[in-house]
Amino acid sequence: MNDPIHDLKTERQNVSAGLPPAYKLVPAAFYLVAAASAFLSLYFYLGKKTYQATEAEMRDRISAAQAEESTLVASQQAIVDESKQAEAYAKWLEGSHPLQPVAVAVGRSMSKDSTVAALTLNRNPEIPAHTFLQLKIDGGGSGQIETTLDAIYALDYQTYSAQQVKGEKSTDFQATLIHSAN
Amino acid sequence: MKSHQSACAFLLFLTGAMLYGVNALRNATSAARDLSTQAQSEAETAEQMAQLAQIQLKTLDAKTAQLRLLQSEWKPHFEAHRTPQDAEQRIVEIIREGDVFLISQKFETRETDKDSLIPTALVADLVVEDDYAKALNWLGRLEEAIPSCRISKCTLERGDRGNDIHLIVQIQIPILGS
Repeated sequence: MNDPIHDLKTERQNVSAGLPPAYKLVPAAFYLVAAASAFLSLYFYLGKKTYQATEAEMRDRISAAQAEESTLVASQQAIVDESKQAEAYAKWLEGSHPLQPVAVAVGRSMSKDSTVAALTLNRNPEIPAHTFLQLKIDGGGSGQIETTLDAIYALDYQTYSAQQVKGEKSTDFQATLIHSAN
Repeated sequence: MKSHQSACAFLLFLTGAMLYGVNALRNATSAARDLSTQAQSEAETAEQMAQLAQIQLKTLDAKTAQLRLLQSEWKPHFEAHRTPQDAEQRIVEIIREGDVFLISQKFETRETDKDSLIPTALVADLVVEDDYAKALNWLGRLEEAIPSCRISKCTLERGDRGNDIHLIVQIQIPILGS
């Protein structure tokens, strides 16, 4: 009378037998795996995020390093281009030493008894740094040639393949001039 | 199948699914670690390459310092005459300023070295007859006014009158390629 519902409920027969004991491990294993999965998932997730952040940082470093390298290579190329230009200039300038001072020096070296009948200065087309000098002096002689050569040497020129032919009234001299800067 | 057995099977399925998911996440983490390691290696290589380029630049800079100094000093002179017309005009001006007696003049553009940075040159053949000092001073001023010019031929002979000289000169002025 104290529990009318209990009184109404009739006793029922078991519809099936209980689980075998081994099956009771299944829920335990489930809980264990669920807890471990939660922990490992968090662990792997955080690890993955860290690795991804590191990779992004490395990619930034790669980009920065590649950009720096490109800039440096461009600077190198600019230097190489300038150097090539400088080499071309230097090659041209080697064969461009002023010749007017030579002509003036030859004229000024003449003594009272000598005059320049003809002076020719021709650059070698293949090697412009080599200048072929032909000089015809009226009067004077070997002494005058020596004086003239001293005047040319004073301009830092050297003579090669010098030849001298003394005529009755004139002296012909020829040589190849090379500036000592070459 | 009884309900208890179904429940167990469902739990086993869920357990397997969780294990599969964790394993997939572990594989993804492992792949991310590999990518990160690879990226680190690439970054170190890239930085080494940049350092190498820096060293090469410094070496190149030191090795070519004198050449580039020459280049910077002479560039304005070589670039002053971009075309044969510019060079011709300049020579004409110098002749006029020098006030020398010009007998003849001839200008032509000649190829010097087509593979070079100076592929062509203006070649001026001039014949001047004037006072010895005046003519030689003019020649000196010409070489001074156009420092990059090259006198390839120069012949001095006695002139027709007193102190005059007959000056035959061939001048080359470099014309830079484009």
